[in-house]
Amino acid sequence: MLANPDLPIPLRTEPAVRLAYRTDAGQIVEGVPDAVVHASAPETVAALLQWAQRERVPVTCRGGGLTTEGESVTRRGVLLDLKGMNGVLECDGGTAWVQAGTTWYQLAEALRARSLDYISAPLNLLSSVGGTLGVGGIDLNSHRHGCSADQCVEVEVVTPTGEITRAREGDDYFERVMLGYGQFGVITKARMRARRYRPMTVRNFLYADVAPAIEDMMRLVESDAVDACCVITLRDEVVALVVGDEDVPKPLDLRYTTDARFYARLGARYLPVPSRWRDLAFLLRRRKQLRPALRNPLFLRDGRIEDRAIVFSRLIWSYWGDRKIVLADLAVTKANFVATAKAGIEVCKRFLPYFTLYCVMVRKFGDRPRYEMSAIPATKDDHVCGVEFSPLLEGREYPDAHYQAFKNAIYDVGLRFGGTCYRFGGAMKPYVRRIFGDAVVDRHRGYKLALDPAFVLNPGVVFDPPETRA
Amino acid sequence: MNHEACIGCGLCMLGCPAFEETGCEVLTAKGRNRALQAGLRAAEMTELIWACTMCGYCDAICPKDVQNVAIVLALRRELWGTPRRSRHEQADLVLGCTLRERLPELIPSIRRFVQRIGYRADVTDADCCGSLDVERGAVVPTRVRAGVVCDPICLEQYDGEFLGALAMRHLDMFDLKGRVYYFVPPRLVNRAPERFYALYDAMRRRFGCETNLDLNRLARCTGMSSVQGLSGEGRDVKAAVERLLATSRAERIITCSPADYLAFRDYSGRPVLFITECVRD
Repeated sequence: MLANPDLPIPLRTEPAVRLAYRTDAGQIVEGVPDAVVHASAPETVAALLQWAQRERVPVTCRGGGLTTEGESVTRRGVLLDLKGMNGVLECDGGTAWVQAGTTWYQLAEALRARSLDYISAPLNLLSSVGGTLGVGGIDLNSHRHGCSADQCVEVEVVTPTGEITRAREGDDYFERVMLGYGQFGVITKARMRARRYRPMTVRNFLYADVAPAIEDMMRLVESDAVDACCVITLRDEVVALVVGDEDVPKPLDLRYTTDARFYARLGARYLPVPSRWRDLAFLLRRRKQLRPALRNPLFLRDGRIEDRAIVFSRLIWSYWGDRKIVLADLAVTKANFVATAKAGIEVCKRFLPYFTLYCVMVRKFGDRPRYEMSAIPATKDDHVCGVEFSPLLEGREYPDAHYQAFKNAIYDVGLRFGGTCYRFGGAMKPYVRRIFGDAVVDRHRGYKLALDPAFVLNPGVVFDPPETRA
Repeated sequence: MNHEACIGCGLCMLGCPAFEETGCEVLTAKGRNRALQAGLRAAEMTELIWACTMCGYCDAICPKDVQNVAIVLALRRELWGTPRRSRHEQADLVLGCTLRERLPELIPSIRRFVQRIGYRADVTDADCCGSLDVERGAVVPTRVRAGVVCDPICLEQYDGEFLGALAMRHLDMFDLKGRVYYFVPPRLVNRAPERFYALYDAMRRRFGCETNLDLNRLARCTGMSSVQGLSGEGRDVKAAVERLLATSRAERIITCSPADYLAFRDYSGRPVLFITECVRD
């Protein structure tokens, strides 16, 4: 069927082209599509989806390709690469009308030329705007501004049946598409809020335990004391509260420990036990790598980080990037934040010698329908608490089943504390019904079937496809 | 070739001219490395191999130190068969083919500047050094010592002081009035950003000019300073110039790269000057 399709757009079927899409950032799920379409306009997407509905050919979308559970990987049908649709079409100072294949980096660059910045974006600036709006997008300033999807005011969407339409904040379809995991349409343009660009002073404070660091972060967030914050750890021994200020940094009332006391305690714990010297070397080496990255003179001016997002985005890859990227993110209530982190740490220790936690808070704007089946749990809290558990592989290799068992065990922690998770599609789909419950999942699947009768758009990523008739 | 070290992060795409032109990930270092990791040979990936302009952006930004330019050169040599060795002579001043053959009117100002800062300009190169053949994969590079090298393309074959970098070290000699866009040569900055970025940033701050240095502190290219750009094959230089100047309000363009001088002269619609034409009397 794909060899001679009745389709007015070029299908790329050369091995070199198809193989470029054989995996995603996670590099665990593999699959080579039958063909690739490089979309350059919404009309291309519309023509493809009309044909796909008619011929019942699966279409899997890819923006930045930074999924980790194989959500943008396929073994069948067409892989639709949206990165060619990139560019800022207009900017009125308060918002920017952006093509959905634009990466956050490209958006940052276009806005900086106007002394503007986006409001909040994923730390990884290689994500596309459209892909991010489908899942969330968490920044260090999300405690104040919410996720990236909450910065969008209007979208152009190609429906699964190939109609080009627009939806604005408040529209039912807008709420479907935002945080919709790419199930209800292909976002082709988005109007994103913008603000004045301001450089940032970054400070970090060391803690001997994750609990006081998280509790201090929660207090900072509740008092709106800083412009950016997160907790990053190496195992559970090096715990850093990172805060960012766009104005002159103010003194903060925190329970951190001084560097001297911290290292003395670390030495006392490790030095008497020669078998643990290797672990000590790991902790010191990793910490030594992290600091210069945050103080790179190329990006500092008057002690403040210019282009903080660039610094963080590159840091992610140089520091955490590896041949396999395993991320298990939970989202829980404030009451369960510390307990979830502690329980997750115990899971990490069972599976891996080295790991890291990344803890952030995300502002929630009431009970928007988009939150119902998303990484933003349906709670009455004004903030959601995110904990990402990630192995630091240090050159080790494990069977993929080991990673899957690790992720499952972390997700079980999330379930135990009544939370949700950031990545519930692809390889983690078995958790969808356990997290959200049958009633919610069936209702959303019903929306999907109404919009996508042949079930061709990103099929099987979140919802079970209709049973195949004999 | 260390393509196995590529983790597929895609940072290389941020400033890749092939990606900017086509929007195709396949044509970037990430796409090439994915193809190589899957076991494809050079003959099965010619489009991917020839898309590269060798601007060096991917090498500079790679968090895993993948040598992408070296990989492309190795693949091109594989396509070519057995590359020959080039022959070229030592010189005080290496002008390069583009200046000698297409922009001879710039040579007097270059010679004056070079002599004023104390370098010799007596013996110049007379023949093609073979840098473009190195890029094609037809020739194995042979490093020859030189005094001052005027064209960043020739740095493939010569070891010497680059004219543009020397100019940045003598900023007092220049007069860059008005709204200026300074085009920084990508081959130079992207291959050693920690060495050269500060020079160009100092110039940017001193004269308030716009540049092609992006948020990563790396240089974006027109594609003209490549074998495809200079031969006019398969590179949309006009579109690249338009992208670079999309938000620019500069009244004139200044550069120290001869091929890019041609690109801006032909496609920007704005006056273009070579850096040595801006030396104060």
